[in-house]
Amino acid sequence: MKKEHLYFQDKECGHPNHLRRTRGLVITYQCNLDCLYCYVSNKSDKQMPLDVAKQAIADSFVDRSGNSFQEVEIDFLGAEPLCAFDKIKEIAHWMWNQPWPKPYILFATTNGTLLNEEMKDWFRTHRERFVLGLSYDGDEETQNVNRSDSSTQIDLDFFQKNWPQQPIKMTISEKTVHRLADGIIFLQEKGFNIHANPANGTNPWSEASIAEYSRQLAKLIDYYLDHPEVPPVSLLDVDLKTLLTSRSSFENKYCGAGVAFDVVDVDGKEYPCHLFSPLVLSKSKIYALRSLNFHAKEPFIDPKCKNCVLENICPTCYGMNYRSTSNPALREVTLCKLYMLQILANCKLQAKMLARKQSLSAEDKEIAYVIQTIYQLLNKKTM
Amino acid sequence: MIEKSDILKESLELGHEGADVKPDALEPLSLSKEELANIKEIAGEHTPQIHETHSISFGCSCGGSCYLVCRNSCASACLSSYSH
Repeated sequence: MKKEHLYFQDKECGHPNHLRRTRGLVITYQCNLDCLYCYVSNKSDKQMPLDVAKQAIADSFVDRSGNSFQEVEIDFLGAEPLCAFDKIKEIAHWMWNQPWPKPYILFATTNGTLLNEEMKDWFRTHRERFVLGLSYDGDEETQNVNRSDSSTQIDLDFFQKNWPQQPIKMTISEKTVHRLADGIIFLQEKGFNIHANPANGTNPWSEASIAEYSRQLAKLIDYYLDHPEVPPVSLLDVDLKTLLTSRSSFENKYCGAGVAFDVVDVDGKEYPCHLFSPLVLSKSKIYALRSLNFHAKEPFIDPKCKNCVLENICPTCYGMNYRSTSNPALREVTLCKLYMLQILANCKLQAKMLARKQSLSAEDKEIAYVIQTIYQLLNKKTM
Repeated sequence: MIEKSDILKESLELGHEGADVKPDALEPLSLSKEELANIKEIAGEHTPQIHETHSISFGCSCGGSCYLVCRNSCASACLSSYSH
């Protein structure tokens, strides 16, 4: 059924009316790794019963909130979802064997270590209607330090061949930040798209590590200038023009947790996101959330950021904020510093690329205007 | 409509108190005087248009920090069309 193949339609997701409802199923609490930055605090052998999964999927096609949506994404979540591969397979075939009122896609993020030949055959056969995303943190040494010595257990080529457009999820830890540029280059030279971001919910980074992050970004800038055929990694591909957007036009929150996205736990209970679920939080912390309105914007505004020029585009994870500070709005200061450096790195890369251009468009002038303004604000700050 | 962008408003700043970055972290990402002059020249007298039509229309589940990765890495590459 062609309509199911949303993975490839996603290239058009810039259309403002292209609305997807995403429902996560916490299919298992099991995981075979112990990553440095893991936020799952309640690992166990719990799995979601089949009847619970089927009901959660059927419910995901029902519009209860009044937010019209055009398509559905079902994400199989863990801990490590492939610990429940047989169950996922059964659920997928159950879905594919009956009609649904809207197009849909199935998705899971995996650590990649449990894939055996039988699983690979199955995913290869169904790759256009079931997307597997891989979490992998850079070169082999970085992967081993961050993710339980797992590099030799992962078949990178399998992911690259079957889902070449699906970015690798790369998490940056303080312990391996000195290998950030090498790790990104290693994966890009293998042909991967990479979505990289610093780990949330960890201890604050030292000033030395923050300075190292900056040096690594500078190394990447040099690499992209020397290799113009390689598209910059997500860290250095920020659309600076977004800063020209009127702040008042950002009416919605940064993340759709509890609105466009929800999660069903193994027992069938619904949560705004897996980070607000028993997989991560204690019962008391979940109970304290009972009156929080996820459709409102105000509870998610960090007062310390209200004058920051980057507020609208600065990534924030309400679940990680809540886990760390008991307030979904409060951002981690380390991440503020790292994001400021990331934006400066984007400005520097763009400035150098503009200097190479023979002719300049109106868009180039807008980018130059943003760069100029950011450095003016930086000067004002450091004077 | 052409008008001054919000980012020129005097009340805005880069970062916030308590999130200052040390000079040795800023240094690798600084621009030389010549590079800044070049950027100023490119920007010229251009007054950017406010992109009122941009908005995060539906939110997403990754936020750039969650491990559910947007199919298009839109958290960084296409924030203005944050609907997937």
